[in-house]
Amino acid sequence: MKKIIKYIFISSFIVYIIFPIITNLILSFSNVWQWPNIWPEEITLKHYNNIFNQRNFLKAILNTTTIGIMVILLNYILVIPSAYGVSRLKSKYKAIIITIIILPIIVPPILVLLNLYNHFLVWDLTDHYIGVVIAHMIPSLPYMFILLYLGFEKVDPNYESIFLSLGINPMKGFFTVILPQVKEAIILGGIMTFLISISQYLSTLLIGGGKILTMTLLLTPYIQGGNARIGAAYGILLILLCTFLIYLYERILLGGKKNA
Amino acid sequence: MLEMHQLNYSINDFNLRIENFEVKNNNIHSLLGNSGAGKSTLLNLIAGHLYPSKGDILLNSKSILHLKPNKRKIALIFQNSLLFPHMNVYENIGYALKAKKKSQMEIQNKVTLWLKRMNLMGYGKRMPHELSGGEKKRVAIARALITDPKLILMDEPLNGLDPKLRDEMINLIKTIQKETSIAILYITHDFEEALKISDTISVIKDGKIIHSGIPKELLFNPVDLSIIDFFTYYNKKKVTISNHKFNLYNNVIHSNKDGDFCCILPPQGILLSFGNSGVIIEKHYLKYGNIYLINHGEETLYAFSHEHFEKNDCVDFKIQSEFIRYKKEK
Repeated sequence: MKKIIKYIFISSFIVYIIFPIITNLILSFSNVWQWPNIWPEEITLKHYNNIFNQRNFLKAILNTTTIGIMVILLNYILVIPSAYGVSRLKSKYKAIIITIIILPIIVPPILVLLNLYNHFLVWDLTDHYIGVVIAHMIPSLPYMFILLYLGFEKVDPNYESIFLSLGINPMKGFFTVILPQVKEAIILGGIMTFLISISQYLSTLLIGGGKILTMTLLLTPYIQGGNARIGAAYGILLILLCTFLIYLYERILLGGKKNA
Repeated sequence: MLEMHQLNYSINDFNLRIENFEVKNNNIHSLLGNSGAGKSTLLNLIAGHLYPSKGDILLNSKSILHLKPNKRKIALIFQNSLLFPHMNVYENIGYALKAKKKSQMEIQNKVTLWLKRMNLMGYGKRMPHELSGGEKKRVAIARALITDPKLILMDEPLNGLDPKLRDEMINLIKTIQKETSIAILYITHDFEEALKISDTISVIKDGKIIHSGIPKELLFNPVDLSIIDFFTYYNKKKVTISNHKFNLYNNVIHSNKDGDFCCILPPQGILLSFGNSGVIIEKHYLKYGNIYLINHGEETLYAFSHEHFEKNDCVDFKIQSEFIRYKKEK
């Protein structure tokens, strides 16, 4: 039985994760690739050349990274205290409070987005970085909240009594005793947020008004009907960017320790 | 040292009312009670995590009620040692000093001293998950004591340890207490543990202190019969008294009562001598003498003696009727 589960898991991993990436990778280097050929007839670098020669490309990379990092930081500022507070709450309304916080991922995103757009028009936040950052925070914040809430729930509340009894003030105790114990949840929450942020197409287009360019904004039109090969090359570059940033992020937070 | 006067605290249906309570300087004072008796509530009031509706808590004759928990200089040690999992033993012990920005030299000197005192030399770099239960407890004690607290609150700290390790830890706590002269309030539900470790004991029941005194006094002369429920060493037997006399462990006892009673006999109410009425099957060492478990036919009974008997010794026992207490059977 264990063997069967292992095979199902490996097969699913290959079919759903490895296979699309490999297909994309081959497609991004192909010039002509027609049915029923397994391999492309002609290999080329012109799609990558095309992308690197676009004047918006570097700007899109910079925007994607900056917006992603800002979303992560703002999410941390909002989520860390709220997730900790809710985890320590002894109230019969706790479940309701959690449901309200994760509501943005329960309600259809287009509803949330249109409502947000109307408000941002009034507050003059459309076509603006801050507007896009807030729009990216809305779908990512609930995920980060859930991860951190579950992390804090596992930390024994008596740790607070311990550091207080040692004469440490609550803020210092929180940052030196409680927070390091949810390090994995913090890292995972940050990665999740970044991945959600870079995949936002509609919200970036609507709130950013096409003026705030991100990788996804450049990539999507190619996939939807333009040149799928350029779209594939964009996809590969996006995967490389994400992998590099996530690696860097883990190195910084874990401080080089694998088992922190 | 620690005093509480007219303390009141209520939550839901539970009321804690402490008229007067004192932990003396250089003392290990045990607070003995069943779960739900109010032990942890009292601990939280002293530590500053709860605030009483009435009354005062004094430490060294000064009220501490207005002080925040981190300003009270009262250290806490819990049942599960709660070592910081992301720090090694050295960092755990030196945590408070580092957080208070003490010099590296001071931290190193103090941590090394406590590692020595706790027999933990060579353990500094180990992570908490690499330690045994007893080692974790020793690190937790060192971490608490390095801050030179005025009082230590221990909330059932030896739960989960095997009896041998528990006895070792009791001796270690007593030694450390004597060396540092820091008063300890030791919270437990285990009477035997309280007897072994304490200089004084208070018993708490339904939010009230029902007895305070030295262990011997509590063991041999409890004020409230309900305290006896905690006592492992007490002999309890249902008897029917007719014509003002009954038989207890082959001794004829005269009483002024008649009817069905539960007879409660403390171990010092039985005089032991060499003979052949029973066989000693267990010996418990206490501070002020030994308690023996004697097999008598199909029954067992506890007896106290300053004389030294050994396991498997055959003994005679004589019951002193003046020690017997009677609880009416419902």
